[in-house]
Amino acid sequence: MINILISASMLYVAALFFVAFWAERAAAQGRGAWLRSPWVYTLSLSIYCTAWTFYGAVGYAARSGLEYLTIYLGPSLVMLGWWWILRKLVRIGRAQRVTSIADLLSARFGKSNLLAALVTVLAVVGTTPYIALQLQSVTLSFSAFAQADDLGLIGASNDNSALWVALGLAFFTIIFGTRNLDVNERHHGVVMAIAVEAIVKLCALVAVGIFVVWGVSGGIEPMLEAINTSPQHTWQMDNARWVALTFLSAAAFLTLPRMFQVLVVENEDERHLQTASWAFPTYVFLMSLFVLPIAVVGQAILPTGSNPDLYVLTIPLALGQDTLAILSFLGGFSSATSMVVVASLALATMVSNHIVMPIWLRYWQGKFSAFGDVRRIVLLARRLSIGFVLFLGYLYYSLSGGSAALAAIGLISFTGVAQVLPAMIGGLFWRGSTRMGALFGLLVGFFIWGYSLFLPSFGVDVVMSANLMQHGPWGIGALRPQALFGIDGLDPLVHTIFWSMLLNAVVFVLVSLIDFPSPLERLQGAQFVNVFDHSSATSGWTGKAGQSEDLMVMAQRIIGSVQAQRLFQSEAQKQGVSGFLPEPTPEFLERLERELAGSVGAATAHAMVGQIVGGTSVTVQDLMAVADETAQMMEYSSRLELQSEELSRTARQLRNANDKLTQISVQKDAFLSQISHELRTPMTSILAFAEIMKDGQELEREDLNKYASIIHAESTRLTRLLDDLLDLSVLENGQVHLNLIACCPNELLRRALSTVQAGETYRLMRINLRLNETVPKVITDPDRLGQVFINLITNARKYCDAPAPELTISVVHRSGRIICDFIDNGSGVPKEEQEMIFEKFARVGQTKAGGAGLGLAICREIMGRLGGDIAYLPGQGGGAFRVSFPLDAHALTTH
Amino acid sequence: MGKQAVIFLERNRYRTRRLVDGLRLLPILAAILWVVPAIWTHDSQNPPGIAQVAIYFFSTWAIMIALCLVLARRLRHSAEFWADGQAEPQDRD
Repeated sequence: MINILISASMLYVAALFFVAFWAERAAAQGRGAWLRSPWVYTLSLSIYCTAWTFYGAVGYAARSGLEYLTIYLGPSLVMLGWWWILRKLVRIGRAQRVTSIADLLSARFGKSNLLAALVTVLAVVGTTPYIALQLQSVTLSFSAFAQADDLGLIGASNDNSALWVALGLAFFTIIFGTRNLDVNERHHGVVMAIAVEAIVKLCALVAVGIFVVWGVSGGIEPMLEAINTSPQHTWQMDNARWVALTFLSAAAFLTLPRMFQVLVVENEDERHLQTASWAFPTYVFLMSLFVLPIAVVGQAILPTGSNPDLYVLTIPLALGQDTLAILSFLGGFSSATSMVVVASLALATMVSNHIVMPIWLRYWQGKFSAFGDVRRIVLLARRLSIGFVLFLGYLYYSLSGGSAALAAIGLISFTGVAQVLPAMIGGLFWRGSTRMGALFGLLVGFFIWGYSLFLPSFGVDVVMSANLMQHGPWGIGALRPQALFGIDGLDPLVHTIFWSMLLNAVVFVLVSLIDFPSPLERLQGAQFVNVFDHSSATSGWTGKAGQSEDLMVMAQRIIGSVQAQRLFQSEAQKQGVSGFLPEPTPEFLERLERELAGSVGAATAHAMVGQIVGGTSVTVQDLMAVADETAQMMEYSSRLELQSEELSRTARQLRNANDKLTQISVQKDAFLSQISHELRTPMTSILAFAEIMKDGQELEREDLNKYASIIHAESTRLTRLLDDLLDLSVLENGQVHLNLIACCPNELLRRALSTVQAGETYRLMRINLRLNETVPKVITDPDRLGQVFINLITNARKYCDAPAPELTISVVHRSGRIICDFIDNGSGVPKEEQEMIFEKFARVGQTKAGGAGLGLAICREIMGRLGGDIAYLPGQGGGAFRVSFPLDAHALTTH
Repeated sequence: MGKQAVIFLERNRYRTRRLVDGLRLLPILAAILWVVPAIWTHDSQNPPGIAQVAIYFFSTWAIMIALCLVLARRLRHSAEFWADGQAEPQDRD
């Protein structure tokens, strides 16, 4: 039996190695898309469920009823509340390239290595008993099989199997956990192996549960009956313990180094949290569903005195279900090994980054030429740390002798690591938290934990004497380890959780309030707390030219030459520099530091860059300058925006003016040809007829008369043209003399109309005269105003293209001005020409009627002289002009 | 100029925000539900059977998980919350 078990476990281990290798290879070949699925992520979180959960939960249920649920409800609360904490934690972890929980605190509190080292020590001390616990569970489960086989090797094999397990795990972790250095190259092999183990342990526990409920008890109803008649059938909850344990497990879920490793460091994509938020609670739900039935059945069928921690294994064994027993053993083995692998990996990262590397750096300070390949040193440090951590666990196991109940060690360990919680939550949500606060809070919490829970857990008289426990140090009752401040009667665990967390948080807050943080701390604080604002990183570095090569040398030694060259080249390209050496701009130094932090942690990376660039240069003044600069930039950009608006406005105006000028120039050209044509036509006929008259003496008188009148008419036309030109130039030069007298606008209009109608009669036009007889007399130059009216009426007659042309003339008196509208029913003036018609020589369209296009220009000049105005009135259903002038032209013209 | 506080959101984004509110409230609701049994022991001489309490816990637990599943799945196509501004890729089903 034991041989089958050993070969089964060997096969299982070989399969795990194969899975890990295969996953690494798939990832290396880029085929590993499914390795990055949210399901693998969720399953990897299941390392929360260790052998303590697998075996211990049943024992816990057998001893204290439903209290074991708190261990699962706490993490469920955290996952259900992922939007509050986990989302931010993962975002920060990815943005800052955090390598461990110690690194997180160190990066948040000014890249302090002291803090990181303290957290590392705390984590090692807190996790070692837990690793011992896993080793113990494996040996215990082995001995359960040995007992079943009635072999007498229980005592002898215990230490041996623990040693073998420890060695095997160290081997596995070193192979798959330290293949690469950069956290961004995830440990696919490890993650995949623990995902497989997660499935195995869930299946094993559920299989045993199903066997117990349906195979042994005969269904759900009898099972519930059995539970209610079992020794712990009544629901008696210790309220304080219930709340404290739920809180503790929630806190531990966030702060356990191994949980941080899988939750944050190994996270591929923050969206995976969305799936894990419900899938992980489902996982622990299933893990805990059958715990109580197994405990109850175990108590019922197994002899009294058998270890309830091993019910999962001993029930199938006692009932002869060997296959189920082996499956269950593999489940427990999976729980133990996956926890140990990830925990030792996380701890080794912390130890190498925060303890080994800083010491090594200090030793070689300033001697960069002496640096070997730092990667090899870091990897070596990490491998040795894995061995060291596992050795510590084994040592603890050997020394403690595997006596205590499994659950007790688990909770002690939880309480220890949970001390990180105040500093972590404070660091995430409160910008005012400081390094000193975190440091002192941690120290206080850690001290209370050690004094009141950890050291007493070794047993009376091992570390603490019975006398000390009873009466306190030096007989001071208030300092009794399990009744601090004289408060007696609390459960020891609740006592420690309450006092350590309370004092830890109080000291953390108080010291933070008093302390003044360093500039770097404040920068990092802002980046952590406001991580969702996409605030761009402000850098504390000011590099000098010529340091790039040193930086390159260092980067190559830490992240490898290929990756370093790629980084430098891409940055150089971004800066527009050819080659591999970009300028050491603050942005680049920041990016480089972050890349390095992904390998050796924030504090070490900061120190390394600092050694080359020359000390941290960030000061309070710098911070203020950064803030000022931002404000100035904003002001400057708003000013620029205004200016550019103004510029575009001006440009628009200039463009319009230019268009107009071009048009005028075109018109002028057109006029010149027009005027020469206009002058030439009458000239030609005058010349021709004059020649005929000169040469032909035999011309009849009648003909002579006819020719002379033609010459006369043409000359008149010429004179008129010249008169117009002269008139315009006189008007424009302001030399015109106005003859201002009082007259009635209506009268003027009528006169203009009769003048026009008396003249040419070739076109018939209906004219609607809407005169307002109340219009007062005006003082103006009647001849000039009449000229304008005549011009407008003539224009309408010439250009109105309606089949039945009609002109409506209306006169009104409005606010001291007379307004005359001339509206015809033709097609009017096209929009694009409306602006031009009052210019000299402008004529609408290609003229059909004669005229040099001076009329409206003259009208405008006249109206200007008379203090009035003439404008085209758009939107009247035809050509429309509005003439307006004041009642008294004197008032304006004398000005 | 600059980022102006938006007072009113269009319908979709408003819905998304409320989904997030629901998600935020979920752990609080769960915490309340899981502390309720603490009150039970005080009010009766013969406390409820452990099987009933276990059923209470597991059923509330399942309800919480289901709620979280519904909310998370309705939220997964809103891109605005993620670092790269992309929603979760569509399923192939």
